[in-house]
Amino acid sequence: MPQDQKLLKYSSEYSDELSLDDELKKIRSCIQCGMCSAVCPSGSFTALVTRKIMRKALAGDHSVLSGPEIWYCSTCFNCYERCPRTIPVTNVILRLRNMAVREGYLPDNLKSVIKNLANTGHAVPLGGPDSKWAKLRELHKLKKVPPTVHSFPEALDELFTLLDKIKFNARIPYR
Amino acid sequence: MSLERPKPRVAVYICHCGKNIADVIDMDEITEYAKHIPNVALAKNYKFMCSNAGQDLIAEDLKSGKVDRVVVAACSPLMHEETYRRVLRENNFNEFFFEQANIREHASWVNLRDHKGAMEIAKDHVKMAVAKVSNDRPLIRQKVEVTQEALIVGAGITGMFATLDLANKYKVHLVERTPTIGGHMAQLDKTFPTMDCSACITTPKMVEVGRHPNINLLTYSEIENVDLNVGNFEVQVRKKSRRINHLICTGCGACGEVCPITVPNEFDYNMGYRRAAYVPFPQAIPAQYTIDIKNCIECKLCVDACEVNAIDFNQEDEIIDLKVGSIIIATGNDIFDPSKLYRYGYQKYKNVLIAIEMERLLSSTGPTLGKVIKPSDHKTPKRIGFLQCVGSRDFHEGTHKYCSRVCCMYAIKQARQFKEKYPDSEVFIFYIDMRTFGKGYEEFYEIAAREYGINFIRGRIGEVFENNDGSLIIRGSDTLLAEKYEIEVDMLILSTAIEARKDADEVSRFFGVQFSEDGFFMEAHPKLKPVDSLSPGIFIAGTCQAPRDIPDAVAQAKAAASSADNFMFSGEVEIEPYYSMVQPEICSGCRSCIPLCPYDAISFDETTNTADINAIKCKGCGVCVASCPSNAIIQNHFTRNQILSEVRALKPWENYIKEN
Amino acid sequence: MTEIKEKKEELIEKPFSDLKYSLYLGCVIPNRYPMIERASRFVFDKLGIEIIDMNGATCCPAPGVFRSVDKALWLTLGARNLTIAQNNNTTELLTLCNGCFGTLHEVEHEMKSNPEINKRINEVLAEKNLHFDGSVNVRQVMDVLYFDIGLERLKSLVKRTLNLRTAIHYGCHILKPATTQLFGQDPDNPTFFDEVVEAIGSKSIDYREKLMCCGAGGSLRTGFKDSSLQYTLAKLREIRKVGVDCIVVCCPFCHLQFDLGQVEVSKLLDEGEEEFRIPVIFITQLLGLAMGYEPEDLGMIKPTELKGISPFISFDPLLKKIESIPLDEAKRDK
Repeated sequence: MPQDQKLLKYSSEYSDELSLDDELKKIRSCIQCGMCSAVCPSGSFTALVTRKIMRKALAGDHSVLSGPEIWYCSTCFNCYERCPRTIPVTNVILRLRNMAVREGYLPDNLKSVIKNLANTGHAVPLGGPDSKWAKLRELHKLKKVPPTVHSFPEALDELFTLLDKIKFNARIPYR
Repeated sequence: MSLERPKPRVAVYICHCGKNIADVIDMDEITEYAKHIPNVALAKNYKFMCSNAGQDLIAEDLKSGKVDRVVVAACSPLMHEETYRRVLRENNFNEFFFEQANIREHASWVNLRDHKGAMEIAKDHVKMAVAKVSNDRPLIRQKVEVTQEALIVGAGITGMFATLDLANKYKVHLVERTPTIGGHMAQLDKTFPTMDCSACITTPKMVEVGRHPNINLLTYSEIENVDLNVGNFEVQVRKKSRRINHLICTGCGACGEVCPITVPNEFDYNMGYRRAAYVPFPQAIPAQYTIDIKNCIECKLCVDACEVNAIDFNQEDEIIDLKVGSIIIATGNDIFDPSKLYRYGYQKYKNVLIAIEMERLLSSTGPTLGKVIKPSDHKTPKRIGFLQCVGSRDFHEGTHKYCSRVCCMYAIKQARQFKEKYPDSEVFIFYIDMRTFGKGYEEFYEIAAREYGINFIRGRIGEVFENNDGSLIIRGSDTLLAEKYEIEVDMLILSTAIEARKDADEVSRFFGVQFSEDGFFMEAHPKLKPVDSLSPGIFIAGTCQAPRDIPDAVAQAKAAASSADNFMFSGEVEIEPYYSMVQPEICSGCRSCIPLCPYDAISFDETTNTADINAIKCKGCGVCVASCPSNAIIQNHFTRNQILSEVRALKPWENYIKEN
Repeated sequence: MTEIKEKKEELIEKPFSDLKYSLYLGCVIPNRYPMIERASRFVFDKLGIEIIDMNGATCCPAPGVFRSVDKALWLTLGARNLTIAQNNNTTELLTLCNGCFGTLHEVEHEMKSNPEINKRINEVLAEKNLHFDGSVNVRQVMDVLYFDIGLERLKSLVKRTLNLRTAIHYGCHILKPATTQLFGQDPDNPTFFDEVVEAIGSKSIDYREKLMCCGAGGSLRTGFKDSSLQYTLAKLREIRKVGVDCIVVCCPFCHLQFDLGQVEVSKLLDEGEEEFRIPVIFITQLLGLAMGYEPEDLGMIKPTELKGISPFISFDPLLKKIESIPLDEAKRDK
């Protein structure tokens, strides 16, 4: 058999995993009508074709996890609302992203945000009491450091404990 | 003579139903089990109990004198109860010494993977059926005479055909709510796939209905009340006042000419106009005029204009009493209103129409005399789009899960008509699946693509925007190319779903017919009794039962007519003996059962001060039995003792109560 | 739907002094757009509505990045944030952000409706002696304005009828999923934001793509910024066509995407296409202006002493216009 033969092998691996959830199971009833991609704003600008994502997930095509397309979704939930089969398309994409991360596919740019959260408790941290953002807060007559986890070291400790408890660091080591 | 009843000797037959049951439930095990149930004299299993050989098996055992009651554990009694009862009848046994245990739908089909569970359920069903049959009593079917007249409700294409078929043999009363007969079909310009003119095939039939000596045509009339006496239905019809005496009116139209009131014409889907004194369209039957009381200002100009003095402002509604032997319900369908699907902009954007509006624009008798124009500027559109499945195949609340069956074909038809009128135009049909299943339909579709150059695009429109000039930007996704498209059209036609009539529940209450989940009337059996309702003598046909096209509706009309004929023709009908009876010595006369009866079968006997149930009207639903505070009502074949014997047969039942 | 109505009726009669919220700030507001925090605190304070800080709150966590990466993390931290409001002895958690609302509301919903998740997450929280008992309702600022304050009372608060032409941007997570959102309106035809803006005396100008996403969410901005800016550009072009004084938002992430985004889309413009300079303001800022307060108290300043800080688009043209609008009282006196 020639090496470059590119024939699809069907597998229900992904759809079986999705179907463990009663809502996500609805993906099996997809009729490929194209409604989700018709209302998808990302589809107008990027290579995301939600309908194709549904099909690939059902077919067990590995590229659905390894490719960047699922990360082009801005989670606007248009598809979720409009699917005539009431498939929660956005939630399917989010679950596929979870599965992709598990297999090691995570866009590089997201890693720093995860690092931020895992280390400071904020996805967008202040950057310390001397940062320009702290100064801006001062100009706005607000406390220099907001009364969030930034002001409470014990809250940060609490966060670390909870992250350990769910083995977040073991799964996604960014701290 | 001993007063003690002889012990019942029950024969149990387990049906394999091919592999439907036998693949899940071990036949030997359950047969062996059945043999040990009290009162069982013998138990056998066989591949197809409903076959001749299966029936013979029962007959032989009955003839042998070894058994006197029969249980068949097989499919649903809806399917074959009558088959087995006949076997008992033919062998001179009372047919009510029979019970059918449904171990197919209730056990094997729903437990394909759990054979052990299926067996448990099947055993329980058999056990219960044996207990019940052991307590069954012989019953006799009453016969009543059947009136040799029929009532058809709704004068669309279905109602008209049913009427014409029956009218050759019976007197037929045809009741229609609107001022004319013809229904939706009269609104259509052409019909697929033959493209013959709808009016050309409808109007001759309408004329025939209007002239037939055996047909009592009651237009502008509504059912007021129905007394559900099987075979002798008593029906009250309200013939609404038209303020015009139809015995005199010549249909000359003088009243309409002078009438100063102009209102949107419902027949043209409110795109054209009519006067308050009007006929909906020129070929209407009856051709006489009607004054629309809601809009009339009583200026009485018409009174002077009418040369034959037909106008009578004192005319009142008339109540007509009918007695009929059978009823055919052919009340038709409504059309889905897509204005709540905001993204398509119906009733927000001027040039978004629904298909029936397009049909009126295409029609040579329509408001534009067949010229297709944009509502925004009354110019002919150059590019038009059709969006399929609007309100169909959608699982959201407020839309319909089913496929409406006709939209693919009517969209192609309208697209072809438009192309014929305007060959330079461009037409797009946006679809999910093209469903062209009927005779000649696929060919019709192929020609539309090949010869007419209609663009078929697989992929729904997601969003519609309106430009300042009224043209529309439609955006969607071509699912075959996996590309999003955005194109401009002058007009967008929404292929809207067929849906059940909004007042279908009222009709169902009048006639005691049931609904399916989708809101349409339910047939007695989806395959074997497609035009029967669950009420004997009442039949359903056409789009009140499910979405369908004209050929199918006509076929149903003829089927219903034939079924009604069958029902009336012998002159008498057997009544199921399941009715309930009041024991007057126990009845306290509290009357609480009377309003609960859905069939209006219970009356109050003032002389005895007790309730009285009309056995012919009673359908045996059991509501009164359950509700009677004195336990004074018993229902044949479902007595307290008979039902409790089934429950008691389930030994673990008591444990169940304890555990929970 | 009835539930929403009941809630509305129950709250609408409450005087402002009886309204009490735990204020959830999130990340973008305190750390990038403190003017939103300032304006919101100021307006609620003036109304006499009690606001209690949620000390030690973390990121909600953001529905785009973190739900995508790890649902357990998303649920755990979301539920932890809910317990802070609960331990503040408040039943209402107020967020000023659509994204935080999306996360916290969905987590609230999961914790209340899914016993299995509730059990699992509370087991994790127990590690730090925390427990979410379901006594917190997550509220968005629009929802508080629309239901708790109500249109009638909003109208009565207006001291300066601004009559601004505004382009409203709803954002996504406040509308969808519709089954769990608070307004009971069709996400294809929402009106609550327009109703609020009209009630406080400005005009909502309809524009094509009004309901489209700003592009920031779902980790799209984080992961693929240029794609996310394409959304923003498409919306900005439509907004420019109808001509407005400002864009009004109810979400800091949308705010950022429109504000900073107007600078960032410069590189995507067609040749000769004019740069965008449309002021972006938060709904509480518009409310504050309508109530007659000074723009500075509402954070509508652009400090010159710092570089690279919000707002990136100057308020000047808007402020100039507002300066010329007298208070309604003054107008009447004339």
